[in-house]
Amino acid sequence: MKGILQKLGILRPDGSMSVRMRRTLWFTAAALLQIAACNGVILSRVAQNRAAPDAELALSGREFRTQSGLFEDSGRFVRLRYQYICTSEETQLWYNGLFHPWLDAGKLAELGYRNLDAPKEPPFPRYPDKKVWVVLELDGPAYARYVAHHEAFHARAAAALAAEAEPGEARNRALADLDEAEKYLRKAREEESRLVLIDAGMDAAALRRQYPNRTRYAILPGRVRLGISNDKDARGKITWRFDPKVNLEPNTVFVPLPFAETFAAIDRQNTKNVRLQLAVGSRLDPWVRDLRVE
Amino acid sequence: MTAASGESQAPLSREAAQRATARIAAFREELEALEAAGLLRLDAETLERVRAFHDARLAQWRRDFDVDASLGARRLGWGMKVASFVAALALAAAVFFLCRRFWGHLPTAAQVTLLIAGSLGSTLTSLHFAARERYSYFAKLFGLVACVCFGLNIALLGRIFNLPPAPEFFLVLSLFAALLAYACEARLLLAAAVCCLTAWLGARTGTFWGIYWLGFGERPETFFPAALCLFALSLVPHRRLPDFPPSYRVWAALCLFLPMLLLSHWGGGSLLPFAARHIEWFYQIMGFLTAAAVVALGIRRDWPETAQCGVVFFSIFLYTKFFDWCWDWMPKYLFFFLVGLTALLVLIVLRRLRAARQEQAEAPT
Repeated sequence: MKGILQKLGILRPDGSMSVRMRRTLWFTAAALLQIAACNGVILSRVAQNRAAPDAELALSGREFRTQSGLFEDSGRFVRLRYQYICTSEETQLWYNGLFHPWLDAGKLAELGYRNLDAPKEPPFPRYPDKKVWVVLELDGPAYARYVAHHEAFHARAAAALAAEAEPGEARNRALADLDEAEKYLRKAREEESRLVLIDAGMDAAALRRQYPNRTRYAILPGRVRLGISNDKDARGKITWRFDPKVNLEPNTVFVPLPFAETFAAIDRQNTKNVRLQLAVGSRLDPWVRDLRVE
Repeated sequence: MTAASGESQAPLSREAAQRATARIAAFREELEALEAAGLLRLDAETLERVRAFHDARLAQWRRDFDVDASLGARRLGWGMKVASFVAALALAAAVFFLCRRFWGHLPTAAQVTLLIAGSLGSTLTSLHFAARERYSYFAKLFGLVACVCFGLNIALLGRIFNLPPAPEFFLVLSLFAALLAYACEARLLLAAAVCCLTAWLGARTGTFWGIYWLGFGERPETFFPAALCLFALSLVPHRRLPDFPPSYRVWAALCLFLPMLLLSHWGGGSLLPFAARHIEWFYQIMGFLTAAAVVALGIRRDWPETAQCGVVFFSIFLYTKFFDWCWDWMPKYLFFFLVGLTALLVLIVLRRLRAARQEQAEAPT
């Protein structure tokens, strides 16, 4: 052993170790220990996450897209497609949040944006982004309201067409409106994602208590941004308002090797007739449990 | 580092051995000059003893540290450093892209195993070369590769298992790079460690102020804690690595002055709850005062790199103010004449300071 260490240069020919070598060994040993510790922490987190799933969603091809890596990256990912739904029947709140009607002043205060003064004119202060937990609902009441809204729109368009019996410009307009309503209704029922981002909060456990159905609601990490937009009325007067947005972040999930062929088939054919079983663990890290073409 | 007063201790680093080699060469040249001028003549026995002593030390340092004994060898040594730096970057990039190219084609167990094995193997390879000081270039090269491997290890495990990104990635990478920097005596790895530490401190300072951690770059003041931390690290005694504290001080100066420079023109990026214009004035004044204080500190503590950083940033603050005040209305020839005059004034002040220091050093105690 001594001979090997001498040959490697760790020990001097006389069997002693220099101060420099001792220092090098100590620091390198610490680096090796750090590699072991970091990997141990990560892998134990993964084991803990997957030991007790928090949610499991059965997604169709409407709720995700395949995403291959860029610049020679051989990774395979699915990118979740989700919606923010706001119908015209929603209450117009003081800042007119078109995308997130539930993201009102009270919710923003809960997320850390306190004492917000309504924006009057530029320059505006910059509001920092916040890390939050978001709730995704699959094929639930929010999506049902969205489809019902388009069904009602379609019914109104059909009634308007029925009221225009005489050929003419009004009837043509009513026909065009009905075509458009049919197109949007078909898209809502068959193409658009049933996954809706319906809530956000700082406490994941509290969100889970509020949304206990683990096959319909997934809680995942996200980010909220508070921007400022404006509206112009008929006279050209500009009114400034808050424009909060919340996103899932990250919104891609790695697809492991056993599903590589299925992934490639989906990627090539852009087929929507697929089933993705997305599991979310106790640490709220998602993973792909199953991916198949139906 | 050899003792400042003499050569009785053996050098503890390659840089110290190189400086001692240069001192011996300078001594020999000066001795020849004095002998040629007829001012000094050592007897043959003393001369032979001194020459044998120096030759033995030079031979030992060449063996242990691979020092450059002549000017020509030193020039080649610089070339080797550049080649080593390029090789380190290129190899690190090759490892990075190799991993990206093939990691998706492996099962999860193989991915995890190879990532961990890559980190461990490259670290042990770096140790193998660090054990022989003669191959320090290779130790540093593989040290950088080990840093890239470890970074890939953590980042790719995060992607494979869909872990949310966290600023602690920079902290662990900084710690790893620092450990290898101290093991291999590599300032390049120290620079990597400092950059990662700065990023982590900036991100954490940002979250303390309520900013999403990825947005810390939008708030330059988040870099001030890093400046303090790096300056504090420079005060830790580094007897065996004398080149590290100056590196810490230079990075600390950059983390202090670059944000100040930015905020002196972009008050809107500040965390302070004041009007942007007032913030800009504040940082302009603070920039001048801090730069002058840093120059004074560098001169007082005999930290030449610190004083130079202070002078550079004082000049930058000064010239940006000249530009703000004068560029639009002053004839361009007059503007550059004014800039030149100011530079001359700075030169005169520094010469006087240097003369005063020399007088102080030569004054009998």
